[in-house]
Amino acid sequence: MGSNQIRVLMTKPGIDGHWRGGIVVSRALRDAGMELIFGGFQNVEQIVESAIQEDVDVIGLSIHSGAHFAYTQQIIDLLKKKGVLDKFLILVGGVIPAKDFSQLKEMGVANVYGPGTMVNSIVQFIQQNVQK
Amino acid sequence: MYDREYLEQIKKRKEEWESKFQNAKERDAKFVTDSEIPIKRIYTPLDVKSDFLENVNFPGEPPYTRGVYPTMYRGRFWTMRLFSGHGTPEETNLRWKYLYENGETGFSAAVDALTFNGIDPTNKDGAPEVGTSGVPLYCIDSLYALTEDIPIDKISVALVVEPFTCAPVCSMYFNMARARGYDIKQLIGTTQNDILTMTVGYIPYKNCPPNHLLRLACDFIEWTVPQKNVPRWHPINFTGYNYREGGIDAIQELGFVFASACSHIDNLVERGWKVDDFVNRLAFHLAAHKDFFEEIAKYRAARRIWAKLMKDRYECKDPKSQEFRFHVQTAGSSLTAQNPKVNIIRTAIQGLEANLGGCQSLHTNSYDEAICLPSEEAALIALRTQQVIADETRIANTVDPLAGSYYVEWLTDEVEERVWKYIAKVEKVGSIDKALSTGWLYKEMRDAFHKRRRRIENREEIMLGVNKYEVPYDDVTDVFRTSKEAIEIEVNRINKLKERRDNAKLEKLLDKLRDVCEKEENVMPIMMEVTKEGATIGEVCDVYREIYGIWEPPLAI
Amino acid sequence: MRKDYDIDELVQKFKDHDKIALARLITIIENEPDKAVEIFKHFEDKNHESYIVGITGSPGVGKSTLTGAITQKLLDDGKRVGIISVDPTSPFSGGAFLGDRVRMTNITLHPNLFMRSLASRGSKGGLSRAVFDISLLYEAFGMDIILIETVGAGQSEFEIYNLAYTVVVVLVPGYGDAIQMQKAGIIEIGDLYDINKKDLGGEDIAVQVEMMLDDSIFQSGWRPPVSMTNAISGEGIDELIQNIFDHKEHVELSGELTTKKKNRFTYKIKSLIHHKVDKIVLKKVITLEEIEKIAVDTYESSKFKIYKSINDVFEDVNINITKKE
Repeated sequence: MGSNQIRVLMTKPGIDGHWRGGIVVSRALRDAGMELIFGGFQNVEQIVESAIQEDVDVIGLSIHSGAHFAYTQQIIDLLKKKGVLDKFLILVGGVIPAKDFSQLKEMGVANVYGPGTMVNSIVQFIQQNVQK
Repeated sequence: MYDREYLEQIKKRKEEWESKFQNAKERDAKFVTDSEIPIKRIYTPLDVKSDFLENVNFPGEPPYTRGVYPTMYRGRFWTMRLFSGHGTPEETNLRWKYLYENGETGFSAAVDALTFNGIDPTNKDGAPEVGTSGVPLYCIDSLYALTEDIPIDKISVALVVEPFTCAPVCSMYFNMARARGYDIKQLIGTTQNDILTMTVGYIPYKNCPPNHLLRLACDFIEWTVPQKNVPRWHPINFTGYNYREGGIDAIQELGFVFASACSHIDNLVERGWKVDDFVNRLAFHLAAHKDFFEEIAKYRAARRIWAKLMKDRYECKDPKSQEFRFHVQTAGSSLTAQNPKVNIIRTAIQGLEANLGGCQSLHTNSYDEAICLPSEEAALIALRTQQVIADETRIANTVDPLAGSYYVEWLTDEVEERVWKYIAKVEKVGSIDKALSTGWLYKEMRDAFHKRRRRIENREEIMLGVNKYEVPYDDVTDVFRTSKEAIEIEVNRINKLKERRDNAKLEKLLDKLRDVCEKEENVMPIMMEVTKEGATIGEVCDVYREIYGIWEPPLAI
Repeated sequence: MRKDYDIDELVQKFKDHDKIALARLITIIENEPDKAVEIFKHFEDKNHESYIVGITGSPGVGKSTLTGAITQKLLDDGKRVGIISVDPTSPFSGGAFLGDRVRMTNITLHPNLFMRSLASRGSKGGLSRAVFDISLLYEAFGMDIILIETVGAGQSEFEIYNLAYTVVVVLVPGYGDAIQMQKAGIIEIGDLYDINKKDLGGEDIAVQVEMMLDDSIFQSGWRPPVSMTNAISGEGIDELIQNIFDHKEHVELSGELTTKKKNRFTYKIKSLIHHKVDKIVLKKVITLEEIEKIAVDTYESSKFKIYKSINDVFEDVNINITKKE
């Protein structure tokens, strides 16, 4: 404790109200020593602006609406436009069919987490992939 | 049931049996129910404390433990009602027809996130989600398209919308029915109208505060039933299903729904209605979760608790007011994206629970539930699941077949006792809208989320494929995708409506709505006019937001 | 994934009003306080001053929503606003849940707003050590108003007194806060009191606050006003903001502002000195392990030897600190 904690933005693009996954992962990340900035419902521009102002290491998108391609693409495009895409580790979690994982990764998502994910795997992935 | 002497004999024999087999090895497991009620190795007549005539009795008579109707499924099977909707109303209409042709006996509209939250597709924040998780019902034209060639006068239609959008969507439905020539006083159906679903089950997006939601819910009940505008309608389903999905247990589920029901009844009684004027039309929506016997005991206990509540607390005069009717949905959160075909088995067992428990209506999940919206094939299997139970198993030969099982009767009593305690706990916080606005319910949900997660990580709760016999996600099953054109189609639908309607007249009506909202009068009469004139769901809910404010739920992490 | 940076480049962009650069500089200062010297040397010519308001109160009183409502009005008035929201770091995990930004979603995109959520990171006063540094950065960035929002628990209320010029203490009905306030001495640090969630019945607590104020002595002649707000509906926000500006005017006219500014810097300087001395002592006089050993020895033999044990250590120490000629 003291300095250099990993900072994560947990947010939901859109309006679909499934929040159990986001809440459970938020607590797990905090219990693992990270600083969890809770964004709640945010649109694409708000997500990017929050990530920039909070200078987070990880952007966690919680998506259960079926619209994961649309939102993720829009967010990545805007991050690219602002010149900050390479500054964030982008993770997507929620009701995402396994068939869609590779396409999301090609867009620039570092990892995708579907239903039944053990939260510790998310913690470990972040710890291994964020250099501080 | 047995005389004292005979019970003594049984007791003696039981003690002998226990001591004889005290060293018999048992598995290294915790023998508890899902809600952690400790379970013994064996149950005997000694465990049945409930007096048969007083507490179990016969079906069709209070306390209704054995069922609300004297004949139950011998008279008529439960309604086979698959919750469905996707893409556009036209696509959903085709799916509904498909299921109807295959033997479905009731309809249920699963709406999309914009419909739940009162947002038009022209609002760009929600636009990517048009039709992705349910059917968009944004205006009266949508209701026409949804019900094209569907015999809504003969078949019960469930509109699963919550208090925030109940009035606009249902009034669109009733207006559409009238325009088609139906007498709405004869319409049968249900509106979920459940205050806890879009507050704790799902987090609402820009909805109004809970005290207004409670009033809006009661407005709808009042207008349909005691004011006799749609007297055969079920204006509310107190819904425990969505909170079970978060991880609360069977006891909490009943505690939540009963506390919620009492708050609504209190509100209507305050308006001057007598309980017997409306209570009979209030219904419930419960989950069928993983613990087979606990769920069945839960349904029986629920009937008994409701009967007692109506008699003792509300002093109803009509025994029909003590009838507890419920719809069941099998537990989505028990299904896996790994080995999804195993979900068919889970759903079948859970469906059986609901039927052995005497539900009036049942939705069985599709096996691709954890991956996408139901494909046609998966929906058909879900429907056939219910039909196998009805047509092939003969469990419906008799009413409440598990009655008399020492275990089931004991467990029913045990669940009942615990639920009474939990209802008291919830009610100590205040009425249900207080339990929401103070954040108390969110804390209960939060604790449940984390408890469930721990149980799965510790393997106290097994999910095959996830924490036992682990396999990767299935990527072979077809992923059902909703139409990408849905956004454009819905935006065009609304634009055409806006061109057609009398915008000046609508503005005046919306002003009247504002007035009604400010005065906190029943919104339904003006809502019927407003939606008939072509108001969209976003336009109506923006008025709510303007007058009642936007509520930020006190989330707990 | 490493984030590389070049301070000169960042400073350049910062001076061009780039929020990305501001955010990065905040991160550097938060994680590497020693870099502050290098960063600040670029701003030595900057003397823009912001007006700093502290907002404190128990958890659950709606501070974030209130801060958001105040900010909205300030932005509407054309002001540039910088927010610093501090939440406590868990002493067990070292992590933190920073839940203030979620209450301010609808103002996130305003061009004149910058907001940063901080965890206290075990700082002694409960507020992050970085708050002062970030407030300087905000001043260099040209903010008109800085809002520092913090949980009033432990000592952080007192710290806010040393960081802000106007302190708003937020209460809610039904909390029993008035009694707690009196016990904790908070009554002395509040320049304004606000009773939020007034729809739950604020009159009683307003009366209690007024009664306590009646019993107090106000050296500067400013009796804290008590406002009532409903941050969600916006009721009362205008009055609260007016009170803030009234207080600002009062401290400016009375000269008290100068005292407060001096206090703000003195407090920070003292804490920097403490920090330096701490480091030296831990390096030259006694290590953490030795401290722990003394603690164990003391309570195992006699806990009443505690003063003697430390005095003995320092008896053996020759402290000879001289300034360079």
